[in-house]
Amino acid sequence: MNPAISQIPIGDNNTLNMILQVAFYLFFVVFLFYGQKIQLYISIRDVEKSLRKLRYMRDKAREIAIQAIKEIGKPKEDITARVDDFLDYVSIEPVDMDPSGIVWKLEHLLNVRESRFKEDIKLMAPEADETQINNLENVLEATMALNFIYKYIRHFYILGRKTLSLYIIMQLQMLLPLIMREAEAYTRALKAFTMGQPIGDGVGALVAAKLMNKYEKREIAKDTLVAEVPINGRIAYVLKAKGPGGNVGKPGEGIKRILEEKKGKISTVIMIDAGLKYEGERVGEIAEGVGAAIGGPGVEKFKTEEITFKYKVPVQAIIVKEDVGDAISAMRKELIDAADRVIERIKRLINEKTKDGDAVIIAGIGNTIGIAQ
Amino acid sequence: MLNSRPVNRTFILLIIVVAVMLVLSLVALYTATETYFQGEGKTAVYYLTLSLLGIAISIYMLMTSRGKTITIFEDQRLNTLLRCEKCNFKSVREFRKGDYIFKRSDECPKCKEKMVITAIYREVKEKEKEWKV
Repeated sequence: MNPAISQIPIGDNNTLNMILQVAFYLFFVVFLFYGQKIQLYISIRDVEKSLRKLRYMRDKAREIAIQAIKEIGKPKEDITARVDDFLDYVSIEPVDMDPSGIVWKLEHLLNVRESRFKEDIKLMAPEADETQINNLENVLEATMALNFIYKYIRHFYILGRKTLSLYIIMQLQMLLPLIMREAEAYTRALKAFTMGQPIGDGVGALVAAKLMNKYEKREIAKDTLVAEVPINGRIAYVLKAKGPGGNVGKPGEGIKRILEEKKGKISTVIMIDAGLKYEGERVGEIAEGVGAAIGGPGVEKFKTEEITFKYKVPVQAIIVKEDVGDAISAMRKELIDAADRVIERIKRLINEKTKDGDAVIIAGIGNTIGIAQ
Repeated sequence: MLNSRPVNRTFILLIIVVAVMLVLSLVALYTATETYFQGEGKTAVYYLTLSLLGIAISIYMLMTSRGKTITIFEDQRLNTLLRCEKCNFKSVREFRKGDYIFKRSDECPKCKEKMVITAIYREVKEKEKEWKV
């Protein structure tokens, strides 16, 4: 052995062997008694990393929102504190011990929330027009969602550290990949909302817009437009939210009003919406079925079901598959292509399920940001 | 960026641990070559394995301690598809702020009519991994 190296005490074979053996036994004893604690600290470190990422996303989102409001709305005073207050905005759900009539209470609450949001945004961005106010509302909603996710995860992280509960931390660690996916989706949505780009969720609205483009429109419900479109000898009442601002409208209310106007003389209702795909399915795949294809808090779905049940009108559903990230980020090419295929399906459905001279309702559901009509 | 936070105690401790492990691994590597030339092949393999393991763990620890850059906020390339309703001329350009579907925008180079935006989309280049089940 090189004499210089052999001077190093651990350069000797036996000494190195001894060190390794002691290290091995030490590891064994440490893992025997502190294995769970070590695991806990590894998990904590993992959660901490994600939490730091969430904080960064939230802070950046807040920055983008403030910047967008300043650029679009040209406020005269500093709006930072107002935006911060806005991020912690809460909506308290109605009591559900006696569920009868809860939908109307929820609808009232949502209406109040929406009008309050719009009023506050108008105050923050006095020079913004209607479309821009709708887009800013979407920007703030996405920032609020990121703020909520960050605070929620931080709550359980701190609770887990305080109690050193392996169960709290491990549950958090197991759920984090899914939560992070959602947070990343909201982060991507911000860009689309600030620029007013069409998002994946708007594929239903895009289909309706393509059908009603050349025809006269009227407002059938708040922020919801309808046009009478002749398709294959039938009259189609095509409805969608009023674009191109970020808006979902009130399609349930719209369907209800058309059915009441026509005294129930509608052969079928066709609803087109974006739906979450299962892993393994391709973006832009189309699925057909029956039932009210509409998400959200449930008020619009309830109204559609109530009125179609009253007049015994069948409801057909067409779903365009996409994942949560695609739904709230700029629309993918596959979804644009899917819209044309959906129109073909609608025409086929109309031919198969209705007769010449019948009237049908076609409702394009979803956020119509970046899509006019 | 995430990695712009100040260096903390854990990070210094990590560097010390990695440094000690690297020194031990290098000594083990040297011992492996020495014992090999002394004709003790089995012992040499033992030390070589230890040394490589030590080096691998050190590199892994260093790699995982690095903060990752978040790329979600980076701009995505978006295309705007325009169509002339008169001569059916189509053109694609990069998305501009203020574009929306069915907006009358740029002039048609053929018939000088205003073209209509018929689609705004992003193309996803990277292929999703396919699970053959």
